[in-house]
Amino acid sequence: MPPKVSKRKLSIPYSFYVLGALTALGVVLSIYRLAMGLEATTNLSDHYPWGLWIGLDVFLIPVAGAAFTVSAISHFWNREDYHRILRPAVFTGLLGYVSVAVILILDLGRWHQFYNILIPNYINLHSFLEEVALSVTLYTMILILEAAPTLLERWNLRLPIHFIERNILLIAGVGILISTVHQSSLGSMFLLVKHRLHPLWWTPILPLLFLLQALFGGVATAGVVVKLTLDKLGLPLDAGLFRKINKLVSILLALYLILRLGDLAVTGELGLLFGAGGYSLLAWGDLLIGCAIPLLILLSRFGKRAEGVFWAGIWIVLGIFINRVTISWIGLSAPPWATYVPHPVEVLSSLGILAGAVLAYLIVARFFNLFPEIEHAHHQ
Amino acid sequence: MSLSRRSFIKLAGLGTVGTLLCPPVALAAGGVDAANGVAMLYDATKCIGCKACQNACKDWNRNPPELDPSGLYDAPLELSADTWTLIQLYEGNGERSFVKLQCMHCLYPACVSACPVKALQKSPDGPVTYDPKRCIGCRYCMVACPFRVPRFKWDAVLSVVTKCTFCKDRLVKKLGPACVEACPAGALAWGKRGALLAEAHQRLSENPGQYVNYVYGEHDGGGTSVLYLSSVPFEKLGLPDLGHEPVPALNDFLAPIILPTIFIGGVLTLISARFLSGRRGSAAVGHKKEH
Repeated sequence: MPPKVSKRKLSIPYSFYVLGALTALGVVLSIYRLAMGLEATTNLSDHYPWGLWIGLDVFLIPVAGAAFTVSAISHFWNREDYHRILRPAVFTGLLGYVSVAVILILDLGRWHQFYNILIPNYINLHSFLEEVALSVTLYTMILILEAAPTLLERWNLRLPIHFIERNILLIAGVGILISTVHQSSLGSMFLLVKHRLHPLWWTPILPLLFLLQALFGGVATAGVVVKLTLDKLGLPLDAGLFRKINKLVSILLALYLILRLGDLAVTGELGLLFGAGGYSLLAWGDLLIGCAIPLLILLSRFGKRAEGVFWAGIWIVLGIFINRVTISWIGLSAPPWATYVPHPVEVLSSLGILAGAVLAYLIVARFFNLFPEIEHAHHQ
Repeated sequence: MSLSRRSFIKLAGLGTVGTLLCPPVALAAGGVDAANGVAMLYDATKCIGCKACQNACKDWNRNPPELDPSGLYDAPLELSADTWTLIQLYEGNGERSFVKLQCMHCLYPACVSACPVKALQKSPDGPVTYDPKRCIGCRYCMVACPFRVPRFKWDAVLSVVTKCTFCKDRLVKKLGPACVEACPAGALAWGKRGALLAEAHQRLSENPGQYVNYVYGEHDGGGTSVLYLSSVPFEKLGLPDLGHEPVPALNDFLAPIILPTIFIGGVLTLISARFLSGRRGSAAVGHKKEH
């Protein structure tokens, strides 16, 4: 059993109230959106059928990849140091996917029958969106199983914990497979929109690029979350682990950057980095913020420390945000007269949902034991 | 660690089942009979821009007008949830031409490949149909359509996707599409696609110089069920240059391949990773039992 949680940790900090208020606002606005329809609550239109909500979903999925990446390294590559950060990674993933699901429901024009994605003879095997939707549903359930012991052990519910731990390799293995498939399928979704997506981003290797982003983005996100949580809990950082994260993320990020630039070079589209106005700027932001800067940090001496990995991770997540929002929203062409700026309900509901996810994580970090091995060693 | 070997077998079995669930399938609309399906021929050189087709479409489908500021005229500027076909005018470089917009009823529709729940389907007799009982309102079809045809009923609490139906509900009554039957100028014709293509090519050969020597829709984007003749280059009428390959070709080629590949590859990778690193003796999974 984990050591008893100290009294100090049980006091409720100020940030909980702020996040709680934002979450409540998000809940109210979400209900309002579902009751009022899309025109009253969004600025989406026939020319911008996808906007902030889809952009956030396509961004959150690789970030939530924290769970399957750390799970794979921990369970299948048997790395004990990664196993020590598995719980925060799993909760990051779970809360990420729950946010994705909630935001997706808000975006659906016919949300009242969203379960149609599960009806066997409706399933379109050619639709990569169907594949993503099915995977997100299934994988969220798997993440609930993976996360459950952390919660259940507090009430000493041994039977379900024992069941999950006995089958953890199977549960985690299926989760990793589903993740690998849908992280790439999320990219495959955009193969169909070649005529609409800006050539700086459309490429037949989108599925590979999306998978790579989920790998380095997932591990980097885990690094950021773990660093923040350990600092907050006053637990020691494992410098060796952060050096390993540095190495892994550097290699994958460098590979991704080479593929991005190589693809633009092969298709003769490197020139678009200069002549395409706002899109050139976005691409530079995407490549500099998401690739070059974090890579330089990771290769520097500062980058070998936990702080360095943390800051590289922040840049990487920001870069993935720019990249994914561009691919799923800004980079999709629209007539010159059409405009789209997210409606306040779109913005505030999104903020509320994300605040709810952060709040849930903080509650778990505070009242449950995210680092049993580290706590154990620390208190000895 | 006795649990692990059984788990591997389960995992491997699951990979096989996952693969079998995704048998190779051809293009989503591969079974379409291109020559015998229904189609429409629009000859822009004969169109007088009277918009009788537009009004007939609204009448038949009970779509409300989109009034101009005076409130007297139905004056839609683009396709919308209430306007499923539209006459637009192109003028420039001393050339002018009308152009009719509506669903192209592609032979290989991108919307059909995109739709997660088969709400959009290519019926064997030609029309691309929509079923609101299946639709979840994700709007992937709107993003995927290269002609930007599907429109959304944004102002409803529960929206629907809207587009030209090829008057499938008239076809079953042996009537032609409302727009075609309303045309007073002979600019519209409907019938079997093969026959209309022959007719189009005959007009091209009998009236050299009157047309751009090309039937738009014969091969574009893999072929469409609405065919166009024009005296003005087709791009100027807003008809995109899509090449001859079906728009969803890459998507439909990868869909049946990529999933089983990752599944089998994934199972093999996980199993070999587990065995190879497991032999090195670090037992992360059994760790908790030490407490």
